[in-house]
Amino acid sequence: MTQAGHLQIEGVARRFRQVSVLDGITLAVARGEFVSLLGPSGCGKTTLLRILAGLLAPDSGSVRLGGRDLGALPPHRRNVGVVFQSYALFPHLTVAGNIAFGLRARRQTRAQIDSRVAEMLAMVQLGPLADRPVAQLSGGQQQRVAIARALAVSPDLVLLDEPLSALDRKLRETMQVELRTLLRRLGMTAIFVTHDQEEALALSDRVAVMHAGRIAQLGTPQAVYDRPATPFVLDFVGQATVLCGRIAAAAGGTVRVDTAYGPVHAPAALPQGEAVLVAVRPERITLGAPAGAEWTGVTLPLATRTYLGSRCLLHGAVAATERATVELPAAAAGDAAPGSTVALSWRVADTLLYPAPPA
Amino acid sequence: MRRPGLVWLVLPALFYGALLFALPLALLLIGSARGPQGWTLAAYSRFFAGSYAWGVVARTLRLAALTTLLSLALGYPAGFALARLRGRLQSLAVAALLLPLSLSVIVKAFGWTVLLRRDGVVNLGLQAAGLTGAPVRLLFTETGLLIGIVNIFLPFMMLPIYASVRQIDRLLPEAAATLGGGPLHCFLRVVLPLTLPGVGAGCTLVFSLAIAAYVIPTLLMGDAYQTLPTTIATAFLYLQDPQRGAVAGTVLLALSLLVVGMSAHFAARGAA
Repeated sequence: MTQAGHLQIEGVARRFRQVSVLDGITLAVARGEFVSLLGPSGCGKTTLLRILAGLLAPDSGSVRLGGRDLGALPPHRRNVGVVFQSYALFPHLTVAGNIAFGLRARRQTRAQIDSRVAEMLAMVQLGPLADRPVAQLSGGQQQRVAIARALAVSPDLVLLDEPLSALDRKLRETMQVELRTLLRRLGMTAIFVTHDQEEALALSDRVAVMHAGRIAQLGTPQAVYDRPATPFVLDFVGQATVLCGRIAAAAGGTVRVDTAYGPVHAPAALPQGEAVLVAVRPERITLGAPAGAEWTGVTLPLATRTYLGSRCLLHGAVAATERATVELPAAAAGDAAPGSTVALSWRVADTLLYPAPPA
Repeated sequence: MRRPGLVWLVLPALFYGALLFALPLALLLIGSARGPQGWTLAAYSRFFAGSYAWGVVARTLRLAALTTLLSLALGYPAGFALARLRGRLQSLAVAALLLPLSLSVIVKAFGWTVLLRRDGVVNLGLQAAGLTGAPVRLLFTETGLLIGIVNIFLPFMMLPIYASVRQIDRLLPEAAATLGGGPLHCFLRVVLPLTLPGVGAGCTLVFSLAIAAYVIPTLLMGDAYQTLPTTIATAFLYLQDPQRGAVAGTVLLALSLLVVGMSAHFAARGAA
């Protein structure tokens, strides 16, 4: 995916009143690809979205779409669709009127507009509501109108700004699947802004985790989850057990890290004596001592046990800067009870290692 | 109004309105249509007998219509800009717009008689700018009247437009742009329709004020320029003919109601 993409973002930076909000973003997105910008509020993801739409000018850097430099183009000449977080539907128009807006702006004929609107209405299953004012629609229906409106003009790129965040959980999950199916069927290139990591993992071809105006990691959902590039990504995407330690020995591509709960082995090449964070995803951990050379583990006291039906969460009593979270199938949790000391083990290959952040 | 307690809250205002407004109005209406032999429209036919009254009605409507149109032309862009100002600047601008409203119309109209004189500020400015060699006659001309009346009523046009622009979600013009709508398309299809209620309210207010204006035409045009309000005053104060005053008053009321009713009708259609 490193060849010239359909969408090519090069070194885009933007400041607001001396504060850097975007600090040199470079990202290539292939045609038909679905890329999420995932990050906490204030990470710059919405700023980047607005720059792509032409609603905000970058201080430096360039954006190319389908070979065209978008830099000098105002939003209405970019052919970039946007689905806004609050939908921004036109309150004085009907459902059909909203969907037809972009087609009218492009001066299509009445017949072209009518047939395209009918097609879009059918696609988002709102046919019977065509003549309703948008204010009378439910949140989910408004969401569909916003999507249909943005897609009606066949944009070269569609930008989705937390489009599902206003919906309740059940509806959000349905809409996630619907949205993904729809965009894939149309072969639409999409940038999806969200702070919801589950949503990003579930929907995306690739996820760009953003932190403080930069892309902290760009990769497939699995790569981002399994191999977080930084402690920030580890922390922001999913849960993790994180322990402090120091490298005691290094040999043959693996290191031994001494923690307060026993030595942990990790595949890495870091110099001896360095302070590190050892991490592992909660569901990679099993109860019991390491079973062989490919396994490693720690022994620590349990603080809480949370039953979640199919699964069971165990939390260890560890230092304030550390976390110990274990996720087990409920049947495998055995009788590990708060207060008891348990042995935890996982594969050496699953151990994640990061230089300790400066204290 | 389902809770009976609410009735008591309205009662004082209702009583006040009935006693001091509705009752005199009813007496005026009755007075305009009573003769020595009972009910008659004789006073109306007398009033409209010559061309004089028709001229008065036409002049009144012309003044109100021109005032409304000029106020709209000046007030729409200004009200729009006002709504898009930021923070403190906006508060200052709104205060500057509201402050003159605390000044009596008489004072403002008198002020304009001074400004519009041959040696007044307006003429000095025109000459300094090289637009005219000699002083222009403005006072006691329709141009001068319109300059003054539009100035005095402009806030009533700007404030409702300002309020309606403020209510527009700022994302809507952006959404229109991302859909391919250029600035003009965006204005005509999004901003204008959404500000029509404000335009309607502003036009209704300014039209109602202008059609009933008495002090401003009197001071800026003198007695030769007769509109319905000045005719009413003349009938009561100088001619001692209360029935003529009542007829003119009823005609003015009917015209106002007609225009307000029409604008309410269009506003309701625009909103639907």
